[in-house]
Amino acid sequence: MDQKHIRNFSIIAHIDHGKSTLADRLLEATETLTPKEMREQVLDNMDLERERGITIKAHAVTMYHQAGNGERYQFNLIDTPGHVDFSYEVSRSLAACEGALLVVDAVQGVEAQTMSNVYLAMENNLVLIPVINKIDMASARIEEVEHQLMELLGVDEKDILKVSAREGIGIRETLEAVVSRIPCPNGNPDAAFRALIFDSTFDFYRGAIATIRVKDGRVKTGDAIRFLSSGKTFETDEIGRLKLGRFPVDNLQAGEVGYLIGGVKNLKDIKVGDTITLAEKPADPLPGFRDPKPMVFSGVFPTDSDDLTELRAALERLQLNDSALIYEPESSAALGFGFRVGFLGLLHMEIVQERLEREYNQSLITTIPNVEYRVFCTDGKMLVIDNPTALPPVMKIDRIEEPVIDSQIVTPSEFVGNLMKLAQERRGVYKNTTYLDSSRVTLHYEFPLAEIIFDFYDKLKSSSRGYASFDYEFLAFRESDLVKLDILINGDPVDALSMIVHREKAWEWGSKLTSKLRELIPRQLFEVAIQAALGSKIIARTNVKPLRKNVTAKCYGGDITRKRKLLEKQKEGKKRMKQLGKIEIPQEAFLAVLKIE
Amino acid sequence: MAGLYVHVPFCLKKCPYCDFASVPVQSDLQAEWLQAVRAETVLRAPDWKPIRFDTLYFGGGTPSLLDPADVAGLIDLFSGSFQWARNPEITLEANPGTLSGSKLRDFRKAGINRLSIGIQSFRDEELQLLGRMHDAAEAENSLARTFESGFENVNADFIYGLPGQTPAHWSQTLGKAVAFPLTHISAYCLTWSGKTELGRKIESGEVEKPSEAVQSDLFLRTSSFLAERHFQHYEISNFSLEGRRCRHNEGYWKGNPYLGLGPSSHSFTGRERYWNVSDTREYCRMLNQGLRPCSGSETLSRNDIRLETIALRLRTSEGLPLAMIQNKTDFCKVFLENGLARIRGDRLVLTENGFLMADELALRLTV
Ligand SMILES: Nc1nc2c(ncn2[C@@H]2O[C@H](COP(=O)(O)OP(=O)(O)OP(=O)(O)O)[C@@H](O)[C@H]2O)c(=O)[nH]1
Ligand code: SF4
Repeated sequence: MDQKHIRNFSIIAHIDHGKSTLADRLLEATETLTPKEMREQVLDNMDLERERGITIKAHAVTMYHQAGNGERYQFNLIDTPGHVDFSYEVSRSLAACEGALLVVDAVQGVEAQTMSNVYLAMENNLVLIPVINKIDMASARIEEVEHQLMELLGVDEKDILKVSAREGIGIRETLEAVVSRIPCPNGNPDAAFRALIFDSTFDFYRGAIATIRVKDGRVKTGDAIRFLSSGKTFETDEIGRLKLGRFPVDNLQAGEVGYLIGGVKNLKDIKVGDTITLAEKPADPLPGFRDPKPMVFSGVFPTDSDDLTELRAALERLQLNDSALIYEPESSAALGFGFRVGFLGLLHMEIVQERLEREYNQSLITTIPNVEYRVFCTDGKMLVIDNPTALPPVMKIDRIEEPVIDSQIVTPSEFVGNLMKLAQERRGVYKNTTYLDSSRVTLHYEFPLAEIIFDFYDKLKSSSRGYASFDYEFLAFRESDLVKLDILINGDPVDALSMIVHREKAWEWGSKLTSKLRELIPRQLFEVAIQAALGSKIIARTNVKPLRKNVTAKCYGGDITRKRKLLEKQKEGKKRMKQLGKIEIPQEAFLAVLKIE
Repeated sequence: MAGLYVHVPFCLKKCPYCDFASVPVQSDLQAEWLQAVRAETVLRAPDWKPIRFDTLYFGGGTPSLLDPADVAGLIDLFSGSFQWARNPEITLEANPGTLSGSKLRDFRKAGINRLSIGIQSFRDEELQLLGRMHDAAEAENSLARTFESGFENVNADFIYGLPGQTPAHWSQTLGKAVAFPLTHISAYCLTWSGKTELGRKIESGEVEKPSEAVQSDLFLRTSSFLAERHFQHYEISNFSLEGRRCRHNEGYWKGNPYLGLGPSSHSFTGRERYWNVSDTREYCRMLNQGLRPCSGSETLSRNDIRLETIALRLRTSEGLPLAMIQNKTDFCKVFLENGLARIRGDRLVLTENGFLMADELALRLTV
């Protein structure tokens, strides 16, 4: 198809504003899927996504629209994830588009993520089509939301589409707006082939599969291609378009979106953000996009140290689908060999952990997550530390810097007081307040990242009856009075339980952490002392009383089989325990900090 | 040596804490059961021909409800059907209230040489809580009659750690017990399951839940009290005078073979274990049709046997050969350091505090 008849776009929205529902309607209206294929929210197809109701991975789907002007258009809808942890994936999806539908809930109005998505879209020079969704709802505040959007985007009221994705209202207008308002791609069809990889997946039978946006020229089956970053060449086995499944075509040309299979076996060879060219006609790399930067780090260890190789293989596979995931080997005195894994945020960490356990059948111990620190030593060296155990001795530290984020909290004005209090507890630095309209405000705050990675989001919601929304981006490293809090169990420090905290919060953390551990560590054959320490100073202590009695009163003929079966079952439970010297610690204990109130 | 067990699934009335296979007596069913046990004996005998038995145990239920003549008939049948060692131990379980003087004499004549009586407590309110048919006076009378009728080797069963029970209450029962010339005492710490009436009462809070601390304390008091009276604590819940251990039960703990007859009974050949259907009518029906009343079986792997051996031997004063746990020296050290076990010769033997933790320790030695 010639580029004039192609439109590449995304739908961007704050969580739950109706992106997936709108995508469903577009797929239906363009008859891309038969009604049978039509499930609710077809674009979310990973199990976990469904359960969590969050679009995690970017997907693409091609549809054809017969426009009012009588012409047929190819639409490539590129899905984007909706959680702040994944904003880098939004930016890579946007790199493949010329425009985006900005969906805003008619009841909720503009939220923090709406704004950050707008900024991302602007950075990528995308044309935005504002869409107010859920106009069918009785509580819809269409006019107010219109004003918010006019303010935010500087658009006219008539440019704003009013839609109910659920009721199918305004869908036709939306499709027409895509044709008339989103620019067509402007690559050079006659130039040397260049395409951007904006996603990748791994297929057990086909190997690594790239999702690409062709910028210039064309690619056809059998072409020898080159990945610019590695310089490696492959022969394309198959190219095609993505609908619900892969549909092979002979060639893809400038402006189009599709997939490419090239017998790429090594998981590391397909790098999202990389440029593909023809092997004989190399061209300049396309501008990639911001590399995802892990913000949160934690140790991931196999419960059974024999499973280390399997864990490595699982991480390698996961990484292909998830270029934001990074890891390197780590060894802990307490937990043995494992990996230090970097995540985009806590949600990302949970998802990776769940995928490893569920899809790759790994039994894992995950340690307390932390951010990255810059440690300036007295000898003038600077160390970047993503693991509390790597912190040099206090005497050698001149100062420590921690990452600080720039954030916006969008909230109905009545909750400002609560939220300011929360911000203060989290060492927030107030910047300013702006009004979206008479009743909604945006609070600008700077926070140490470490203060928001645990339960900030939940607290934010509970302080605002669920109304406030939050988004952030990295700002800078700043000096802070940080100390290492150690946990000692029966007098021995457990490296995997150490954490870096602000000095003023050390006492509070120490006592909360020790009492949480007391709940989580089962009674043993002897008393277990749990202490929290700053250097050699003990700041909190508690203990787990020894187990006194565990015995079956009767054990005769028929009881014996039962007894053995029970032992076997309990043995399995014990295997999920980690032996630290003489003490058994359950896996969850290493994440105790996440469960602290 | 092997043991022969006969399960007698009848009681006067079901006790509220009981999860054994037992039903209230019905004379027709009892007659059918007797026929069925005889039939099962004939069915099983060929397989067990080569094996020499040295104990016979009538358990239940309440075997003392049986007519002594029927017991005599069964003993006759068994002696003709299997090979026997000299002086076999022949035990019958009995409940107070089912033991008249003449019945006792007839059981003795039938060949019963060891009686095990379900006294449970010498305190009326405890017996009521347990829903027993007898009161304390009846318990004492029946014991007195037992000794009068000439039984010498007598066990009494007790239950302690009851809701509301104090150490003084329990001492009172134990004191009365040792006033009789008992050769053996079984003292079981109360455990409950939600399936029984008493269990439900405890879990719903209707009666006070016995605490782990009190139960442990009573356990320790029991062994020191009985030790002073020359009772050896030879298994977690069992105490005996010198030479008066229950040989039948010891067979279970040593891993000896046993043949179980009657509903819900288990048999073990040394490699294979199988068990009978637990419903009495179903048991009778199957034997009536000439079928083996088996409801399940398992063949033990080497590892299964290891697990069982560890779990069972740890429960006895003989302990466990150290050779069996060579790879667990770390754990053993922890046990020793914490006073839960000691080494005797080449065996690991649990202390009284260790007995209280036997299941936990077994688990650690088998992981
Ligand atoms: N009343 C009404 N409800 C809608 C409409 N569109 C979506 N919803 C509902 O809003 C909720 C969120 O819709 P989704 O389409 O899952 O939202 P999303 O933005 O894709 O959410 P994430 O995938 O979590 O980012 C669902 O319960 C939808 O049924 C609408 O037009 N009207
Ligand atoms: S007498 Fe014994 S077997 Fe019978 S119901 Fe009571 S506890 Fe159970």
